[in-house]
Amino acid sequence: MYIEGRRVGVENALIPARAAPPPASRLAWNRLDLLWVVVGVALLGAGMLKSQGAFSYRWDWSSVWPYFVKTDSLTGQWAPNLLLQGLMTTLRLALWGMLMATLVGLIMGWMRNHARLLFRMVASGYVMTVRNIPPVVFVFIFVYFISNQFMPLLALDQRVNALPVEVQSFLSVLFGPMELINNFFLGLVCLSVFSGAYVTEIVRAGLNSVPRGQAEAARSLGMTNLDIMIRVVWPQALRNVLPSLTGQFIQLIKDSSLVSLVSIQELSFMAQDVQVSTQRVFEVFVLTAVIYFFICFSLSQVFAHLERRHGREH
Amino acid sequence: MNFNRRLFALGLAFFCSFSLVPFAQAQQDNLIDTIKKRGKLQVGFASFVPWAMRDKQGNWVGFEIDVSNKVAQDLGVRLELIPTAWDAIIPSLIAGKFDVIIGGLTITPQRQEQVDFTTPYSTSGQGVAASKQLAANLKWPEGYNSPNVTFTCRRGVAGCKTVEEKWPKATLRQFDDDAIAFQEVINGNAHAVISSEPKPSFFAIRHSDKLFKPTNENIVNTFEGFGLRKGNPAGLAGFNDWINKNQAWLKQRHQYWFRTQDWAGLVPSI
Amino acid sequence: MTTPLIDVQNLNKWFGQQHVLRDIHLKINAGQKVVICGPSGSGKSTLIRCLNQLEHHQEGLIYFDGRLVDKNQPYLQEIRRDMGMVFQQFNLFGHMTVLQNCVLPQMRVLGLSEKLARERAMQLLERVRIPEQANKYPAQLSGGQQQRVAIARSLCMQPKVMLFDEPTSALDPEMIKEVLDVMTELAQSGMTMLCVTHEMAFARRIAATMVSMDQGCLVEQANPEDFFERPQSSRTQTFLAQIL
Repeated sequence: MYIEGRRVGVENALIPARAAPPPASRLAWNRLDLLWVVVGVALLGAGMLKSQGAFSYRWDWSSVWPYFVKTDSLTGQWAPNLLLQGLMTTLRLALWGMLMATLVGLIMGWMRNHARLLFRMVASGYVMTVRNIPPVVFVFIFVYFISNQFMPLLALDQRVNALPVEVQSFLSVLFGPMELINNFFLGLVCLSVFSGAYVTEIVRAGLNSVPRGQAEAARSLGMTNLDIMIRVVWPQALRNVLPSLTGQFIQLIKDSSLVSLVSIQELSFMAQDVQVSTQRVFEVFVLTAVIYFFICFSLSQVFAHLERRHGREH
Repeated sequence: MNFNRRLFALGLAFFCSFSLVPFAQAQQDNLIDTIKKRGKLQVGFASFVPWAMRDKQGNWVGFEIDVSNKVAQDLGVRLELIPTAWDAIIPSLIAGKFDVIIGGLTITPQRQEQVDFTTPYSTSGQGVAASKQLAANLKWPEGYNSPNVTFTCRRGVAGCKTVEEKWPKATLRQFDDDAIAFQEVINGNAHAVISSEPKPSFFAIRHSDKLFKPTNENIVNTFEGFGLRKGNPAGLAGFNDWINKNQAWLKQRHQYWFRTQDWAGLVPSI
Repeated sequence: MTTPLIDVQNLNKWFGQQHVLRDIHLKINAGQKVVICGPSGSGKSTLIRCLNQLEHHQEGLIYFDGRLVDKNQPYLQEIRRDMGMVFQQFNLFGHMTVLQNCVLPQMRVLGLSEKLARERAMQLLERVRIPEQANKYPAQLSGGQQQRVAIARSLCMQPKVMLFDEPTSALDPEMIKEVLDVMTELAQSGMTMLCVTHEMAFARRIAATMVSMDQGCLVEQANPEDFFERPQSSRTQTFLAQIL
């Protein structure tokens, strides 16, 4: 070491590392923060007190709860009622919707960057249409104009009725009561087509985020185009856009309430019926909001866990 | 890019025009025969107290439910109830999602352009409930025809048109739901709400501290009919026939649901 | 006269309107080591990328082991299998471990069982002196280690020729030696090699033929001694003066 031009100490030793000084903690509160909290609570309390008079709404939860779970008049046992049935439909729409939207998005995302002009035009036309029409308008157009073309052709309810009873009851676990299969399928397709456009853009961003060199290396090793896509490019692409993709799935659950406008009997539609029948506007809406929040929040936690495990860490 | 957009617009236009064709074909043979052959009557309606509502067990009950059940019974077929969002009930009928609207569909000239109505099977009126806080000093009915006065109604019901016609200067706010429309007046955010009887009467009784009825007469007397797709005279005749044969029964049922509260135990409302 | 392993005749390529390869003639025999050098933009990388058709040429013929190399040939995949390529940016599959990187192509392209593929992969990882990194992910390795894995991955396919596209240009100086050592050992074991590089000391050691390029043309082709001591072309002289 050299101090003031003179050699001091051991020539080759480095200064040993020391422990770092403690950082300012992000979890600390100070007195100013506490003051803000007190003022905020005081304002909130004052506001609630004032509005209590003007609000003049008598809360009554007891009449709403039976619409979630009822005591069946015939069997005397607990059975799911309208809101729970609507919740099940929403969950089914969400699950199958995610799968179908991903499928649509993967195919269209692949077509978006394809060498063939036709594929690119079809995919970009699809994305442009859906993303530039408001969701409500899209749902109406899809259900009242387009679906009339293919729903009668599919004749799902007739096909389902032809199946044996055991198969039908298995299917009803996956897709809901068989009488409503047409209704459910319509809502599902509508939701998937709508969400699929956004998934397409996410997939495209993912594919673009994978360096060209990856595919080049795979090609130079002699791998087929299909293998390159499935084993090299898509796994990396999807890992890169996992946050956006899972965000879109959460959005899909909320978007599922749109199909209540076209009489698909999911949670929002049932909530509307219950609210009309009981006249308890706020209780029903608050309960519905809590249910949606619970679903979305749980799902986002699951996805956060997934991202931690499989995200861009590698 | 321009080329892409033009091609796409052409494609969309073609597609839409293509999709309108089946509507023309929807006018087929006698609707009653079709229903009987299918073995199922599909009825479209929306929840409206007390026309159709869900009881605590989750079953549909109400005046329209009783009517639909009897029609199906008399035709010798099963009944399939198809609950539909009220805003979309006429488009749903035209799109063929069900055979007939039995849902308190008020006969109006505007609706006449899109659907065929049977002879009336029930009548009701529209009534007004007003806010004691805001409207107690307003003269009825002229005092309500001013831009400072706000009416509320449920979107899509005939009452909204009535307000536009009778009180053109007043402000009208529409809501997706009756209960919200009433709540606005109870909260003192609007002067009056128009709705089908017996709601205004029921609400005025229940919230007598906040609401009152400016008049005990019906503002307008309305008639309800079954709604059918246009171009099916044989079907129309069949349903008219049924209504004419069942007038007494219809009156009795209407009395039960609209003038009494005997059914109040089924549903936790009003 | 043995048939050359790689025979390039009158190769011409354009990128749009730019003429990037002009009338290239090149013959490489089995076991021969060729080093291509030249200023940037001279077409060196493009030339070797045309050999395995990562770039497509518009005019000229390329023969590999007697077969025509062309994007429309159904056996193009087999040709690529027999040509190993090492890239400047390593291009390891980031979502797989080192071992999986080496095993996957063997299983999918060569059809080997996983057991055999693993054995061969481990052998080659030992050869490039990083067997202990087998279960790490590429992002956890240094640049030099990644490039050695890339070399091992290509060698797993048992290619007839190894193409190197500036393999050390993206490495920090202290890691260049470890990669060059591996390449030197590879050369000494008899592999046919075609290298694009700026590492002239290394080139002088292993090359049988030095080739210099400028603006898409093949300017000079000679053995290392003649190339470095007595360069014929003024362009080669200018280039060597700049980098030596």
